[in-house]
Amino acid sequence: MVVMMAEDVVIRTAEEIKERLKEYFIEYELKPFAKGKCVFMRIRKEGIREAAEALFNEFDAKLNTVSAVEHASFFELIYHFSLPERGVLVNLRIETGKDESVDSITPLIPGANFIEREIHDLFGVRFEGHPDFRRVILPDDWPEGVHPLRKGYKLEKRR
Amino acid sequence: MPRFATVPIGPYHPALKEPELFKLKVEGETVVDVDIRIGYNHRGIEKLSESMTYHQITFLVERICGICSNIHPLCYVQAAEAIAGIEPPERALYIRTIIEELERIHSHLLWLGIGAHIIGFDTLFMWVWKIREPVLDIFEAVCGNRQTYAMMKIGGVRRDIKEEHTQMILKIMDETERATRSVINMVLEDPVARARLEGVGVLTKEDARKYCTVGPTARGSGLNIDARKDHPHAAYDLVDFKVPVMTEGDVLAKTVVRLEEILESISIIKQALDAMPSGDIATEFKEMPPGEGVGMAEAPRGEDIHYLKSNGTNMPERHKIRAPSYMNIPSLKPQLMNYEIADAPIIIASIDPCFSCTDRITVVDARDGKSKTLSWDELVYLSRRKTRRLK
Repeated sequence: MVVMMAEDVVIRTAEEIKERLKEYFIEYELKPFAKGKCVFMRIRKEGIREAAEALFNEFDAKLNTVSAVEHASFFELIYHFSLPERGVLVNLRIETGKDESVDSITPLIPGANFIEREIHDLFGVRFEGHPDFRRVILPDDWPEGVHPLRKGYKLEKRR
Repeated sequence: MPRFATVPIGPYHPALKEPELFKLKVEGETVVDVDIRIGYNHRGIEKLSESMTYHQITFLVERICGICSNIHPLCYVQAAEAIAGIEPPERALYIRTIIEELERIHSHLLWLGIGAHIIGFDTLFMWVWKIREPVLDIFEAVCGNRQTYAMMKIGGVRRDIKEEHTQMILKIMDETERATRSVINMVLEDPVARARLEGVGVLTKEDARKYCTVGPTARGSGLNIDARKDHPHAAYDLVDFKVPVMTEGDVLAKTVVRLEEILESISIIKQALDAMPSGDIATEFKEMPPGEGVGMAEAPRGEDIHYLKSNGTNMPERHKIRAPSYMNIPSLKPQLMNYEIADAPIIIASIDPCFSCTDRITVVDARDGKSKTLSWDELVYLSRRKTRRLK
């Protein structure tokens, strides 16, 4: 019963966010998480800055982190937002071509600073509008254009 | 003309997952700007995880951190269980809760000892570590190890808590509770300790939110967030506990939050031991279907999150790990600004990164361009000298 009520909150939250971001919204689905469900929502990548602003300011969300996943022809970025008051986890998914850049959300949420720089280091995704786009994880003498978390990078290479 | 100098602290903190370099720009004794650089000990665990089987990864992520070695396996198995669609038996959920809370107690006591040492209260440091020792004895009895307990597995836990363990845990918890209460009085009533902790390293609620801080760092600044309440996992929805929140945002507030959390953890452990049903401790896990899942849990330092993506083989397609200090370290910038260098050690320690003592600090004097190297011990000496002046 308790779980059912919790799931109602998740669905209601997903619908509210869908309504707020309808210009960019593509689809959402619920997936198992902890003892209930969480939202995985796909939006168009042009909307990421507005989405982050809406979630952070209007839904009191907290950015947990951003997970990058490499696919054959594009990168997938998953922005994990927690809404502590509602107890809901919202995972915003965007897709970006391998040579394209994504709008940085660091000017809105300074907590994204390291996260975006790390994704650039490890995957090579560029974030447009980041105030301080230096390396953060890789050493200064690491070769340009080599991104170790890409599938094409083999561990044996540098051994 | 203002006289600026740069004081780099770090980068060698090998005990921490993200050893860091703090470049403090100082004017006289006052910190006016901070630049933080991480990544010196990046071990490529996320890449390594993509070449290991789901069972092996449990042990790999256990080695991310030596202090909170239970939290990463806990997050990971929860993410894996979300994909595989399996539910651990209730007894396993309670055992996970007990292990996690024991870890919180020993981690907070360890932190308090280090904090006391940094500001020159070595008696308190010795006392607190003496209180912590029996908690590690519990781990030794239950798991066979004092650290890296290897208790978690996909579908449940690997070892049971037996009847003789229950008696031992209850006895040690009673002693720990008594000792913690007297430590709280010691810290709060000592005027010199208060002078070093109160009003120092203030993180405002607004900054705490903007930097997306987690754990006691956020709760010391008035943010009521705790993954145990917000996203209940293990048996946290089945026990009753409070989330201590302070609004001051200074080092003292973070200290009080941690000390009160120890008492809450003791209460959680007692409730869990009482309510724990008998039965199996693991559900069988056979194969991993394609899919994705998120695991989240509250570590002693704040919320930890794992994202796992499976492609149907026996190895993950992607495994993203975000440890709590990753979000808390950038928030040190507003915390350090406008305070003295002698306060820097306790402010940096106040977010509870794991400290090691091999740090070397280079003081570059901007006026004559000369540089000299200070060890971490010498910086701690500066901090301790400040306390002596206050006494």
